[in-house]
Amino acid sequence: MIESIKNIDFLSSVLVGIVSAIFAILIFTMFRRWFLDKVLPIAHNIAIIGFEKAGKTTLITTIFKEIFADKILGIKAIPKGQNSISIINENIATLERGNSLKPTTDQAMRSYTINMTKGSLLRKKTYKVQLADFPGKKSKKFADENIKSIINTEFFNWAIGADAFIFVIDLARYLDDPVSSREYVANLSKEIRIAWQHILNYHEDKKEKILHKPLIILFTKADLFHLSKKPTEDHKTIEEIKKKGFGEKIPDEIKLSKTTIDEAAKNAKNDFSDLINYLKKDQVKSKVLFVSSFGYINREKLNLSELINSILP
Amino acid sequence: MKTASKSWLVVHIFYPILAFLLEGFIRFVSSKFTFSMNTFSGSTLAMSQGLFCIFVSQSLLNAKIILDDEDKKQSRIMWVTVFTSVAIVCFVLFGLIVFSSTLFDYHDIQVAKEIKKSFEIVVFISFVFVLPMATRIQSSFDLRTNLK
Repeated sequence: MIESIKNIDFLSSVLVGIVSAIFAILIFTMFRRWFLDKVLPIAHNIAIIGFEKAGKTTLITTIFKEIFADKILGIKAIPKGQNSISIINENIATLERGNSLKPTTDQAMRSYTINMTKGSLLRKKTYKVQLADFPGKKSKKFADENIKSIINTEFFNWAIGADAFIFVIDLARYLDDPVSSREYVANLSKEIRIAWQHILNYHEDKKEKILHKPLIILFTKADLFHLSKKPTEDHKTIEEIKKKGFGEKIPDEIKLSKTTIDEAAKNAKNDFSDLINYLKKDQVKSKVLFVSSFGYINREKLNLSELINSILP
Repeated sequence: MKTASKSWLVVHIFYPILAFLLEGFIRFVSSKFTFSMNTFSGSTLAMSQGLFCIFVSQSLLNAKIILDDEDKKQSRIMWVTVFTSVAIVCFVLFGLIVFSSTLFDYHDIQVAKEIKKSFEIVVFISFVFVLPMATRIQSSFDLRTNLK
């Protein structure tokens, strides 16, 4: 009799434990959905590493512009903080006026914070996405200088702990004459390799973690492919590429042909194959993307949706 | 300087609540694997919760948030205030639970037992909300522990 009472006691206490646990999980889930996700969204930092005038600021501004115009499905964004709101909108207005954005200087080193909501209903998640727009000179310093001299810089500390990495390759420089292009490929490959090796070195004890972070090799200004599919010797074309790639006025929006982009992308990928293979090796979430802020296919800016979906968790 | 987020959770949250978990486990084992309102101690949890709230607010206050701006600073200060306030409430609850427990144990005041139970329930329920808030603070402000 006593034994059976003891068994009932044990079973009821286990049952109480299980019910309490389920109740706690239920409350926790509701609390997370309806309160935490709104008040304390998870931080997601994206480091965009590229060199001078590679089109990083223009790309970031175009991403925001497309999201605000509801042209990227399933993504909603609200800029956070006065700094982000004013800079993003000022940059959008500059592009809409047809002017190029000025290069980001060391003094103007800035980050944009936006609350990005992805998915719908039960799968809806909000992230506090911070994109750092580093001046090209800082990025170069990151690759060139001895790691010890920059390990304590704000840029290094931020970039090294980022949740996603975008390495920017400027197609306007690649589509130069073959000699300059070859030099650009060699220099940029070296610099990106060094930057990545610094990041890997830093995370040496936790390599598994870094290898699961998204890494995008991003070719910007892909709209220039309609001028030339590969490095060219034609001076007139080179002048036109420079004018569209680095001019004070932004190029007109252009409808791109998928066949042209695919063909030209094949050439560029081939020339950067060593770098691409190196970065993609062991990296679980790596991607090579060709984007354009001024070229579109099927009414969508080239690969912008894919870029955003690749860098978000 | 190496940093890690998991170790932040261990140092700032797991260690302070370790006493509460161990105490509950020992009571669970010694009571022949039965759960009751007495398995876990509300007073220990109040103290543990107060401690990790203080740790979290101090970590927020001292963390060097890279690429910080005015809005983020204000948000940080707001959460420091929230966690410090919760910590104060927890320490007060700890005092009240211990006091009512003493009144019952040494002066046999029956109502003190009921008051103690009520305060314990408040602590247990608040834990379900404060713990996820503390862990979310880490991922939202990207807080890390310096390893070397």
